[in-house]
Amino acid sequence: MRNSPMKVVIFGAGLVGEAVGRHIAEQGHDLCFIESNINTVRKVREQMDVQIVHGAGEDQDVLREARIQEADLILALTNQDKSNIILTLISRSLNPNARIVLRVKDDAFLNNHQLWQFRDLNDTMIISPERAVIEKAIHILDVQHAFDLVDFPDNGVRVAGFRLGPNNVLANRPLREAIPTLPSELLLVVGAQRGEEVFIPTGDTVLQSGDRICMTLPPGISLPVILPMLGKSYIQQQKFVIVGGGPIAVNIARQLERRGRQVVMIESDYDHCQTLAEMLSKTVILHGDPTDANLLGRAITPQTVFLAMTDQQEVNFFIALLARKRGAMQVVSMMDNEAYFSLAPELGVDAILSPRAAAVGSILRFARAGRVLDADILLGGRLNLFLAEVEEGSRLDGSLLKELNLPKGMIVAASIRGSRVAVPHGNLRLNKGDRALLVLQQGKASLLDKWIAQA
Amino acid sequence: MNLFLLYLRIIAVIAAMLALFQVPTLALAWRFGEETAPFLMTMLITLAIAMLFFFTRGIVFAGLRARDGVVAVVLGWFVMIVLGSLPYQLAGAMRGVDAIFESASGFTTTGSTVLGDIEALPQGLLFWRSTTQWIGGMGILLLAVAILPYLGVGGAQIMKAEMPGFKKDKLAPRVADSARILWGIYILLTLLCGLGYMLAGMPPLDAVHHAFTTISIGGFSPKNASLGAYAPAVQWCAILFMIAAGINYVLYYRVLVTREWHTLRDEELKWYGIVILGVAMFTTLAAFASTASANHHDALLHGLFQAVSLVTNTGYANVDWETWPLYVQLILMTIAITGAMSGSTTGGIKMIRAIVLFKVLTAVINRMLTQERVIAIKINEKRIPPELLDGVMALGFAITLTIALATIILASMDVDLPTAFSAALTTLINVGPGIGLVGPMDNFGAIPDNGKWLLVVLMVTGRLEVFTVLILFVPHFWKPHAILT
Repeated sequence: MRNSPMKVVIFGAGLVGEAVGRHIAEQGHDLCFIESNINTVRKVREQMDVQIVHGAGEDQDVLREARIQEADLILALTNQDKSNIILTLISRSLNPNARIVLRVKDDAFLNNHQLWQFRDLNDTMIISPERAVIEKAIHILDVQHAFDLVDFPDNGVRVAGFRLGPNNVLANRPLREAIPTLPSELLLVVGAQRGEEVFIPTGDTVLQSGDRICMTLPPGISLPVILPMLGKSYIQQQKFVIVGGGPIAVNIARQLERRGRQVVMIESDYDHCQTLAEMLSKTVILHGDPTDANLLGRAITPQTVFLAMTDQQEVNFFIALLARKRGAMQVVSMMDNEAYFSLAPELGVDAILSPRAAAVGSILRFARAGRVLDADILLGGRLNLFLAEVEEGSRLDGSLLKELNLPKGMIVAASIRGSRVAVPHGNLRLNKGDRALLVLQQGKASLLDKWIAQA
Repeated sequence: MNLFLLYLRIIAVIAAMLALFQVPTLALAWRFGEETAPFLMTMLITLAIAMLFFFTRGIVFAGLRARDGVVAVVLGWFVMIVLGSLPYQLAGAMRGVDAIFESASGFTTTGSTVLGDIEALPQGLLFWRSTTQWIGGMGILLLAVAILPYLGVGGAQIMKAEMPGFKKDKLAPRVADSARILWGIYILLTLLCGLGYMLAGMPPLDAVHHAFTTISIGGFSPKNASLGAYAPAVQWCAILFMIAAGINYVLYYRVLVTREWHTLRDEELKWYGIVILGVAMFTTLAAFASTASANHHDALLHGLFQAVSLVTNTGYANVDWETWPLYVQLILMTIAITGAMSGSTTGGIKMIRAIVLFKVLTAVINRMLTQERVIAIKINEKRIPPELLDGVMALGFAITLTIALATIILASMDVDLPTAFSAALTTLINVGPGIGLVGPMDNFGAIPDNGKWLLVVLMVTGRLEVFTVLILFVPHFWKPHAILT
């Protein structure tokens, strides 16, 4: 039985809506946007092969045109919290059975637990870009030098992104020779980026220093052993310097404190410094201009993980650059403008924290369907990760990996049977009921069904 | 509003309370076949003064200003001390100034005495002596607020001026209810303490004496040897209840009544424990080395007892700790400045203020190291507002300054330095014993009369947390229309 395509309605084709929609459409689902801004409507029409209805989400005719009653999944992703809540209520009244995901930014709404227990809201999924990015940041900071990290906590699999440093063991030879030098069989390179090009490596691929690679990290792997093999040095006592004291930064600092890390936070507004000093117990609060090179210089050591988290992206860029020049071991910057994403690595920004991108990842986790148990993205959406159950009679069922002849742009990154993560080597046989972590390149998501679902 | 009538009413109320508290004393004196005349006379005098209340009948003192509360409370306390000294004077047991000193030491729960041989006093006077401490511990005006709801004297201002504490939070929306809760806990603790002493083998009357002076953190004892006169079991019991008396009453309320167990994760409580143990380490070591403690058990008992007695500002002694090295004596004296927890009947600046002072000190040093640092002074993860911080630092300075000035004045009366310094400190902090001529096994009889008057003022100043009395010395205070109050 093939998974029948879902009918998905997305309110708002803004940056988050569009990014989520792109992934959903790629998986072969029927997608309809409802968008009130005519310029956005035009842009989406030009770029994507989806239905788009121009008009207000509250409008009965618009909703009828989008066939909201038939939708399996409804996503309220406008950038207004109140609109999203109202659209959720309207959708629920028209379609009691659909799954609904709604995006909420404001903490006042998020923390209002009574609101979410309300009859028509209590079975909706709430996605907060801020919370998503905090979670993302903590994941990344837990693994030194990682520029991205996707965690499937229930299945014991993590996929982390690293930039290969000099003197690593992977580069300059075919991967089939390089991989066995790694200490664990469970380590597998599942994706790589060189310049603008993203590819899924095979045994013949030759990596180079400076490539950004995505690799599976089995639980209990020892970073002090692994990092030098990737050309990175492991630092025993990391020190975190966070510039900017916004809510996201405070939450990250709090989590780091809880892990016993040493945190310094620099904030330019004196009154806000006072508030920060009250909110955070162990973090050292410094009052100063974020662009004060002298102050940054004193705060940064070779053990420093530097987080540029002011609310101005350009300032973040600039101070990240300063931090890189001062020799911080890792530079992380918060930015939401996708135009900057590709510039970042060249300017010495190791990792980007984007609330919007993080939200897309979280939404995809809820927007999955059929045999897909979990999903996420890596390399800014250039790689799709799907955790899927192998269906009886599907192409994966019962066959040896080496005989599968997987198409280009697709790889089995891990297979999980029960609670055991198995090595995805050539002689592994996947069976029905196993969970497989599949990595697909952007644009190949439609391959998924072909391999995991019954033919 | 006629302020004179307000003061009159306060004085009348205090006199009425004192008359009431004469009853058990009188009964005791009669029971022991002692002279009852001094107590009867005192009762008549206080009752006569209490009659003044009728002049102020029907007046409601609404909208009382903070300043009026201050004057009323300070005035009330001095009147109380004078009236409280009447039994000593009328019985011919002490001269005027000594009687006033003993009365002040009682009401302010200091516990210093001018008597060389305490046991020579008749039972009635001894009981009055302990009673004064019990009355003064929680505050007579607070009791008045609690049991006389129609006192009509702006309870909040009275409570603020009389109740020791840091934030002076009310436990209940209404002042009278708060006062009732506080006195309720106080009485409960006293009952438990008395019961504990009796179970430990203390004679019932002595148990009442010591329950009064333990829970009020006063330190008077009807025995010359203080708690040293009793068996070790009694002394262990005293340690337990001294510690209990030094715990913030708000915590008792939160745990016993509203069942908020998490309030026990209290920073001040933690440091209260740490300070006691820290001081006990020094005192126990000193006791081990001293010949005054016969064996290891004694040494531990003596060390811990003295540490708790001084940290809580009770002032009991079970050993002559003047036989210990001078530095240990000085540790005991200086730690007494800290006192036990805020919201208890302890003296001193209270543990919480000491913590705040230390945090300010570390913050200042950290800021010197890194100019850009912004540090919030927090207690229990909550930031202390700047005006409270100022108050704490000012109090620290005021206490230091007052002790220094008083030491200088006493020295000018040819009192030697250890005696002058420790007498000033022990009275201002409401501890009781000092070192030198006023050591734990000595008395204040050797201090010149003028010095005693000074110490009386210091005791009241300390009991009312310094500012309440200091404010009277501010010229502006006496010009009601010079500034807005």
